[in-house]
Amino acid sequence: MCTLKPHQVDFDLAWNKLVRTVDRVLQCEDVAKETWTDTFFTIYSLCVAAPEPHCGSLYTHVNSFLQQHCQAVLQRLDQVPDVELLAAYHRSWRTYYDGSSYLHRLFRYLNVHHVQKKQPSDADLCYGGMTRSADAHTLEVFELAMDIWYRMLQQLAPRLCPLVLAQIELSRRGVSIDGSRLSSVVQSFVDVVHWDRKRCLTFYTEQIEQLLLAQTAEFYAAEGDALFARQPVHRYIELVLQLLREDGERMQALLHPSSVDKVRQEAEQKLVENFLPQLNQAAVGFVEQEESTNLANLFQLTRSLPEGHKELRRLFEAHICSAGEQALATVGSSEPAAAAQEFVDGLRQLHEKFKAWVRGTFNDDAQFDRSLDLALSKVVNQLDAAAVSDSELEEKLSQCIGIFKYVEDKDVFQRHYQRLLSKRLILGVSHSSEAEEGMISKLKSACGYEFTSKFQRMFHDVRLSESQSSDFADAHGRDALGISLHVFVLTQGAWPLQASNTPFPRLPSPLERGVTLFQRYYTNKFQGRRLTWLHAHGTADMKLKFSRTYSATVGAAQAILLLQFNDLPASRTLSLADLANAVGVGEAELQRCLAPLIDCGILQADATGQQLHVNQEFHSKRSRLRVLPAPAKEAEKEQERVASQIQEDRKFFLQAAIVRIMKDRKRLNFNSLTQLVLVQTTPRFKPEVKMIKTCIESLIEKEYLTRSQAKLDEISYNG
Amino acid sequence: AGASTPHLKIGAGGVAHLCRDLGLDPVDIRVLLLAWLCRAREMCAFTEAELRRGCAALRQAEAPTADGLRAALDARLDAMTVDVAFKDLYRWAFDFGLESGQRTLQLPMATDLWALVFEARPSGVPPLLGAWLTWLQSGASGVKGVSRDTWNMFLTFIDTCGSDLSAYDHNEAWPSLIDDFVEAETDRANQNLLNC
Repeated sequence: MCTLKPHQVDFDLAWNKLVRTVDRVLQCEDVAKETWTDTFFTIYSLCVAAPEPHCGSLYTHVNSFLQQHCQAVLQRLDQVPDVELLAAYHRSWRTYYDGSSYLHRLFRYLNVHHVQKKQPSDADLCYGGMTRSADAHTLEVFELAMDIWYRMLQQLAPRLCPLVLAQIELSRRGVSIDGSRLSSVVQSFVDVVHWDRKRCLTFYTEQIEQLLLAQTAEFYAAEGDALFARQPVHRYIELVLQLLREDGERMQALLHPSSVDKVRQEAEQKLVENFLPQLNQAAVGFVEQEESTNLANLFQLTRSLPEGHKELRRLFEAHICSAGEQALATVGSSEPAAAAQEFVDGLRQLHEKFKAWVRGTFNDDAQFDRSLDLALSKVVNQLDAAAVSDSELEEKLSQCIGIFKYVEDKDVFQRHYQRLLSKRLILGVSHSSEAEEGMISKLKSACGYEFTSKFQRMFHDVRLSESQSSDFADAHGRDALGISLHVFVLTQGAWPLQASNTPFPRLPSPLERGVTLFQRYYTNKFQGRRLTWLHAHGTADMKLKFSRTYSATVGAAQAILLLQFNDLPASRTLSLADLANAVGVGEAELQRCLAPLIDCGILQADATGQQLHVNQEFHSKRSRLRVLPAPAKEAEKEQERVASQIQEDRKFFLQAAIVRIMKDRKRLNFNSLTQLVLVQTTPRFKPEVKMIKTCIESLIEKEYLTRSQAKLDEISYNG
Repeated sequence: AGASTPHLKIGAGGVAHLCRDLGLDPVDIRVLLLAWLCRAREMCAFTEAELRRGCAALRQAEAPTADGLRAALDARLDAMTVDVAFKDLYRWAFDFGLESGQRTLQLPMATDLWALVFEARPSGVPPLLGAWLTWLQSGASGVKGVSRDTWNMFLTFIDTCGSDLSAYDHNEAWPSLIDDFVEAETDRANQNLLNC
């Protein structure tokens, strides 16, 4: 009897047959498989009936059938007393929900061939302002069922919702409730409008969430006051954390996920935000006593409040600063080299300790990490700059480059590093070139290529010079000169060396010849390059023949002085004036060269101090001596020179930055320009705003920039 | 005092003579006013073209009488009621005082001009001017010259901050010389308060 061919069907007859099965399905009663198939087929034949399909009337009938069903449910529930209403509603809803989804499947053919064909497109729904409705036959059967229940529930809600809320409050008071039942009831408010994407949560929010938020606020305001009055602050924090955690779990289980955070915020506002001043008050003690558990709890408690951590961070910073001041207060009193070591060690300990706080107590929070950085920079920069630029510091720094990033005046560091590196390279006193290069690569990764490019150039020069010197020696025969000559050819500008104004004394002949030959060799090899000799920076290795032979490393000027004694009879003395004449240097310089030679006993002065002679009895345990002149006063002057050079460098750097920025932007107001300049310079140093201003003014004066006529703070680029 | 031959120029002596005829001190504001109207390029000298331009601006005949010129100058000074005109005079004064080939005004010249030019200001000599000049002349500023920017901005500063410094905002783009002045002035005021 099964035929797929459309044929004439009597609708009323078919519906009467159908409706019994529909009712059973909706109530989740057993339906025999044959009956199911039969009914499915009846629906099919109604939908394809000839001459006119009965889709429309079928849909209308299903609609009114469901409405009658829901009315009946409502009437039944209205009879149920409040205490049992939740349970009764839950039962009816579960059955209806499951029944509806079976019914949906039973009416599959109607859904596909009647409803879906009428449905507006997604675009129309989203943007066209169209909606789907039962009247337009654009709701599929399950959706239709939900919509009808929704209308019923609207009438029931005023009774039902207070019961739901009462259950939640009971649970908050520690009474155990049927959570899964409650959750299912709550979920029904979402499910009934789920089909409508535009307002799927509105019903739930209006009927349940809003009431719950108000109830939450009221409940926890009272709870918070009571708790705070009874408990000490640190205990309060613990208890509130526990409360919030439990309530969070409760809400997770009972509510739609979208409400959980809102409820938590409401609770936090009453339990935490309202007590923030008192909590911060307590935090002062926690920080001072370094009570990490309490701090961790407080941190956790305030983490989700906007600005909740601000005060805590401020306290943390202040604490680091004062700890830093205490720890480093003693530094600087002792001898510089030791002070530098102490300083760095102190800083490392501080950093380690508070980094551990950030990691443990503050959950590796980025803002607290920044506070640590800020506070440490403050500690580093508060201290006397002398401690930072100390001559020994950079060696210690190689162990802890981490500290370096806190130094604001990186350009000062750069200058001093260059000066000392140059000394180490030329005198060959580096501990090891691997260590040097390691340090440079660390600096490079911290500050970028430009910062270390000169250092690298310096290394390159030294390495190249070695091979050049040996090339030169090969070309001239190693023994031809009588001496071995090693020339450092250094790139101008990459080294902190300058030709001195006073001409260097005439070199002794073997050296002079070597220098001339090298000059010729070099200019032949590299045409167009000019060599400027800086003899004052040279050293000489000499053999000194006393009772035994010593080899001594001396400065170039010292070598000339010693050579003056070379051809004299052993007992002859030379006066200071003679020596000054022969070497052609001033008295101060002469003293500086002679002092170490006299100190170590190679030369001896007579009682007047004016006559010098070679100490024939000279004796030393070591066979290799280093008798370089002390940098003494030179060093101070050099410090000054470096300082003024740094100022000059900064001005150039600032002006270049300003021009670069203005070239790009053409027109900027003064404050944004200052900000942009600060961004560019901060990796090197932190200029004062006044200095930036002076540079802008001097660029205005040089007519690179113009101040706008109309707006006094606008500056434009004259490109 | 008119010149009859083209391209002629009167020098320092001639200017002194002119001033005497006009019955004016050479450092009177009205002489500066005349120079401005003439658009004179250098101090203590007028070319014939400049003088003609000045006379035209004063609506005087080609060869005015000393009395006529003097009366016109007096009237012009009284008529300086527009800030725009004063601003032009003020800005021009910088170039007038500038030695040729220089970019900055020498400090003594700058202070002299400042003392003079504000006499023509429609709203009167600003109260701050005295303190400003004293501070500059004390050498506390450490500057030897005044740039055009600072010169121009000083007028804006006077107009904005008026008689007291409460309107002054350190974060604005004032030239650093003005910043320094305000700082010194505030320090002095605080000092006075302490001494009271």
